[in-house]
Amino acid sequence: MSDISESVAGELWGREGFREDPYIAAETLEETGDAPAVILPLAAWLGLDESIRNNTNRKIGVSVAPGESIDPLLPLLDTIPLIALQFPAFNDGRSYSKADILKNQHQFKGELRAVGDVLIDQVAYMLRTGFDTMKVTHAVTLTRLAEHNLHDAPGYYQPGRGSHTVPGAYSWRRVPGA
Amino acid sequence: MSVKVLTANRLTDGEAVWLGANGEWLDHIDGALVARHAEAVAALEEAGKAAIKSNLVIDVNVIDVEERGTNLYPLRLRERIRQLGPTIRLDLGKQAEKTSANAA
Amino acid sequence: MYRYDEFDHAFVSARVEQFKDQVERRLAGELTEEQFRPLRLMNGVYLQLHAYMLRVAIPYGTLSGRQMHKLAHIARRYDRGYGHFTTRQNIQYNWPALSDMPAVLDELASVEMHALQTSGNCIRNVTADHFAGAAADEVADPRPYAEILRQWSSMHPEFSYLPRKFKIAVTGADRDRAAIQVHDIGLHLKKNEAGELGFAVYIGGGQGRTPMVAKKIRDFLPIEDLLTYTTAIVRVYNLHGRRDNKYKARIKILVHETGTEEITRQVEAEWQAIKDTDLKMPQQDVDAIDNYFRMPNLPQRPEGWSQLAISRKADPSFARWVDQNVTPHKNPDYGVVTISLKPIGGIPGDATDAQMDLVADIAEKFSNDEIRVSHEQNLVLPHVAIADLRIVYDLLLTDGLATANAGLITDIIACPGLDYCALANARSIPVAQRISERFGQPERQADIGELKIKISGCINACGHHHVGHIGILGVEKKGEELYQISLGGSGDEICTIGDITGRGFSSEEIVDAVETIVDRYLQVRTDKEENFLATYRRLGAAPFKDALYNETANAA
Repeated sequence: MSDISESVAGELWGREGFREDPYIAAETLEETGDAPAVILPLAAWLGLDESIRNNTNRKIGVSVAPGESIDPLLPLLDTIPLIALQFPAFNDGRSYSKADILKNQHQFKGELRAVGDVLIDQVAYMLRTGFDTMKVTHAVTLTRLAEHNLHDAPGYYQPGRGSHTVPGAYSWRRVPGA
Repeated sequence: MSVKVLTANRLTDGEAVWLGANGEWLDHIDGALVARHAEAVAALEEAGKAAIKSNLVIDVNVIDVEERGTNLYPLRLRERIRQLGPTIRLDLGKQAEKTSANAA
Repeated sequence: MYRYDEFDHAFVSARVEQFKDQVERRLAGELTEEQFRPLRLMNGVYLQLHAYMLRVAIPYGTLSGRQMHKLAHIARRYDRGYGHFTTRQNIQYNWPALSDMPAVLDELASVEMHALQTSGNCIRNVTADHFAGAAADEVADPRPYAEILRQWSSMHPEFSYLPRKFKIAVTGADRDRAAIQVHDIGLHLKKNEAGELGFAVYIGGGQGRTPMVAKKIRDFLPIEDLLTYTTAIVRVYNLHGRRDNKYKARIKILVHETGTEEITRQVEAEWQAIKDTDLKMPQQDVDAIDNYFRMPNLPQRPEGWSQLAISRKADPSFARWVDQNVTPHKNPDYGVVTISLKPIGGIPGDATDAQMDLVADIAEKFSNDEIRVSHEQNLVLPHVAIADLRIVYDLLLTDGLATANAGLITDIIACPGLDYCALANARSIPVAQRISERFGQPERQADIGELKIKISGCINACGHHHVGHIGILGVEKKGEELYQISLGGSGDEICTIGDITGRGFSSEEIVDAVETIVDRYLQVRTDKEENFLATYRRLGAAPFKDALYNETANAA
């Protein structure tokens, strides 16, 4: 078990499986040299000059802690390649609501990433609320993801994204696609 | 004088148990390992951590008891209720058992 | 009643399989307790003082005879022959082994029941008026909406890691029997001037360490907006509720600190953004759920009233029971029967396996196969023909279930307290038992009239002491049990939090103290029509404090 989790540690998970993470995380842009894809904390990202943020030569994503508001990002969503919502503890659920707001109310088209202490039982919830990728530290979660065991329910009682998007017997239910 | 013993609940069925002088987890407080000074208390705490790791018990606590003759009398009502069973159902819990045969 | 369809069955089975796997991994040592604890809590498994405890959800307190028989079977086979009905309309088993949990959950699933979301920081079992669908004073049955909310809140991806637990209650009558104003969301189903159904929406009520009466944030919400509006409320709470302090994490604190006006603005703004999404309910879906809860086809039984008159005259005990425990039904040939789980000197809310089987049998024969659990820890037979009251009474009498005390001073709510609960600081049940014995004489109870005593063994207030006409809170002081009294609380439509009288009373003193309060009430009430709460509201705490703490003045 631990072999698998070690082999994929530090990689990025998406529906297709694990892959190399093209982004590097940093506190400031200065310390990233000329890395082509960078993730900065919200304050640092907001402090960037607009011309730098909109520079098309490199991707500059933004990382948001659970206690930080996404409101300042909302007018700028078209220019953001990636938003990383953090899960520093598995029981802090604020980032789920932010994911839903970003994807469904504001049609964020960039990559929405979950970062942190993610339990396997939460992965399906994250996909449903709109996350595209995950950067996970939890060893059991990594192992199960590598085995593609997502703990998905046979159906959901709420509309959402991910694997179950076909309306069921009632308007609020969703079942797997054909 | 108040001394200390180590108590917990058994993983499989949640039964209240006490660490015995023989190193086994006992169904009754009689025969529990009594710590009379700081080093012994520290040893109890270490034994508790080891027991959690070996997945035998959960919710491990060091509690205050008084030695009354040959009996151990927990100072908190909570612990006395854990030792005996619900005070309103004398037919249930450890108080209902006729013998006090210890089993690990 | 709602019946599971394939979707529900598949959902619950998958959850049971998942928990089985988790229990096996735990017993095999592959999961630590730290990893397992949140998983077992999600499945209703707690650790108490003597053993594990399993809390089984009874959605909005409604169950069938078959389900009650199953609860009896579980009590017999996996527990010690009894269960405890709670103020959340659930049932708790006090002695199941962890290794038996998967089997118990399988048994529950076979009768469309589960233990999901009976713990954890998620949306808990939705509660409703226990007379729903039967009471004569009802505007509409709240259970279809409770069922819709149950479905929508089941394993909600966005709302499974809230700051704290979240409780929703729904009532469909002006007389609030579901205590909606002490819930995180309280919904009052009513009709507007055009005769359309909708909800008055209350948020931020709750008991515990900081008791609060809920604030009304919307007077009329159309039915179709139920799920969008609820989503908006819970989303605002999920984003902004405090997570720095467990005791300040409920929505009541957010509402209090933000202010009702501002929180209402935030909810409404969020709702505007989502009100026309997929969660807006088409009428056909509401109708489909509503269909499950249609009033059963009850045969006409007009002969009952003359029979009742004769039986009443012949047996004063039966007459007392009818007066106290039978409530008017929508159909004049029928009544709603409260089965008291408060025998004099007994343990509030406990029922043996045999009693559960008996209630199930009676329900199957005489109550259209329906039973309710009330938040007052009693059982209810919602559809009993007046003509059958006598036989139902006689059957209940055979196993101690015909106590005629619904709503009286011995109909006490009490949490399990320190006799079972790992969180408790003091015992609740023995206090309830002694009060019950003190006032158990039928004439005395009848003279005192409606009086709700509610007892909690710790500040979490599972025994609803804040809304007791007389509330009792057990605390631990210098290793001894001490009981604080509060007066004038009420969980109904005029909701108030009780006022603490002053210093607490020892275990020996507490019953005398309650008697002192009751005696003073009898002295100062205008007449028998003025019940304890009305007298307290008229006079305030002064005469009662005087009686409690001023012995010389009390001598007269």
